[in-house]
Amino acid sequence: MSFLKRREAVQLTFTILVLFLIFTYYTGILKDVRSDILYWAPIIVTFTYFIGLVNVFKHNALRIQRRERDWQYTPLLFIGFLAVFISKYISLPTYDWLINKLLLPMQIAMLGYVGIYFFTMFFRGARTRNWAATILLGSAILTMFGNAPIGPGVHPIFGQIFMWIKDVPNTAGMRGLLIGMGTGIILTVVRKMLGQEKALVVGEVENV
Amino acid sequence: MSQVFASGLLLLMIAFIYYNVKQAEKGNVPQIRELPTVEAISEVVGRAAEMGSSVHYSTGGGGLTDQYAAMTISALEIMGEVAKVCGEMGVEFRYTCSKSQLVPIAQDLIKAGYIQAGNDAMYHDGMVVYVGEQQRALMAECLSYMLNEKPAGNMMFGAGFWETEVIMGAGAVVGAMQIGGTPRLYHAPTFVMTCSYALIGEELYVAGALVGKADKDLGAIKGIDWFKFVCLGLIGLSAILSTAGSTLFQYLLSV
Repeated sequence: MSFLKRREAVQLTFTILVLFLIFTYYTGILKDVRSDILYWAPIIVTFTYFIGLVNVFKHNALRIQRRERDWQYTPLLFIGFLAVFISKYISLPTYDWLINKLLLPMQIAMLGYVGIYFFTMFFRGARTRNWAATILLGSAILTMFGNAPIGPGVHPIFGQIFMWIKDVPNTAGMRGLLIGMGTGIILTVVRKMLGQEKALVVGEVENV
Repeated sequence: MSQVFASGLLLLMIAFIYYNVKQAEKGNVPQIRELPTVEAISEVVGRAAEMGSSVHYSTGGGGLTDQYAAMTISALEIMGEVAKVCGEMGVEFRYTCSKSQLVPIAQDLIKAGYIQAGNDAMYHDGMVVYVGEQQRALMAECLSYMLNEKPAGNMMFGAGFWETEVIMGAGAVVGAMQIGGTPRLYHAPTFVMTCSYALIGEELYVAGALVGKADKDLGAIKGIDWFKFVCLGLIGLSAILSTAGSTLFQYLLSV
């Protein structure tokens, strides 16, 4: 295996870059170089779009070939792709129409599902069996009641309970979690630097 | 001054992790409590094996070039372990993602998992499905897969955004056994409500280190636990000193 494809080469590159970025962040030295390095990632990612495109085409072509369930809708993907791709270069008004009149309304419709799921989530929460979810549900009911005009209208204490939940247990819990999250992120980076992290290594299959 | 103080704390934490990793290598392996969510991986896959169904996995909308990279990396580590268990039990695995950079990595990890399980014949590239960079496309694809295929197990780890509600909600509707977790506080309640076992906050990072149960990983976890004690000590000390009128911590945190 060539050196560039070996795990050690990736490890070394990652470690040197991370140490350099940390150094420039805390010292302010070579800030411009740091900015340039941070631009590399989106540039490299652009190349992976091609891999993604191949995956989309391959997956959907196989769906049609195997006559999988609802395969009849799949050709629409290819037609849509070609329509957007070609219209972008040939006719911009057509491209705008496709985006604004077709894509955006469909995306908004999809987002509408989120609202429905949020609503049904409340009832699912009501069926929860563990005590943590029960506390969550109770605090959610009190928070909603305190936030809605009807709550403080019925009795001012609902507004006070809402503020107490928001300012005391919620803030305390969130700050504790944030400290844990910060340490967790550093744990992941340090493990990667020490070569312990198992994802994102070149040729993992070859190393099995 | 805050930069010096913060860099000092960072170096201290790295030193703690490094020291404990080296101790673990020497045989002083710490005992870490089991995370029920990690233990439930084989339960979920086993259920899928019994039902002759599949396991669906998602890492949400986070990628590797944004601030959520660490969450995605941990989620990918867990995915490698899930793929291995799927290989051992002969279960079809399905990973849906909306970041193109995750496609080759996921294919590599899943293939490695199936090879490790001695079931490489079962692996195919179609186990990874990329839906484009749109969050709504991820929602639609996952929803379609859930309702059509009705997987017996559904897992979602990583940076969960609004797609969390749809993916986990759809899983709950089709009766899939679900586990998942995100450090993103906005969507943690969704996991608590819809999952049999959920990870909250930093548990995702710990789970990422814990899945392989390597000695060095356990040492690293002990290292961050040491640092948390330092954090608690600093919080307590700052409360006492500030109450007593000291401005030491204001000076340490001043820009």
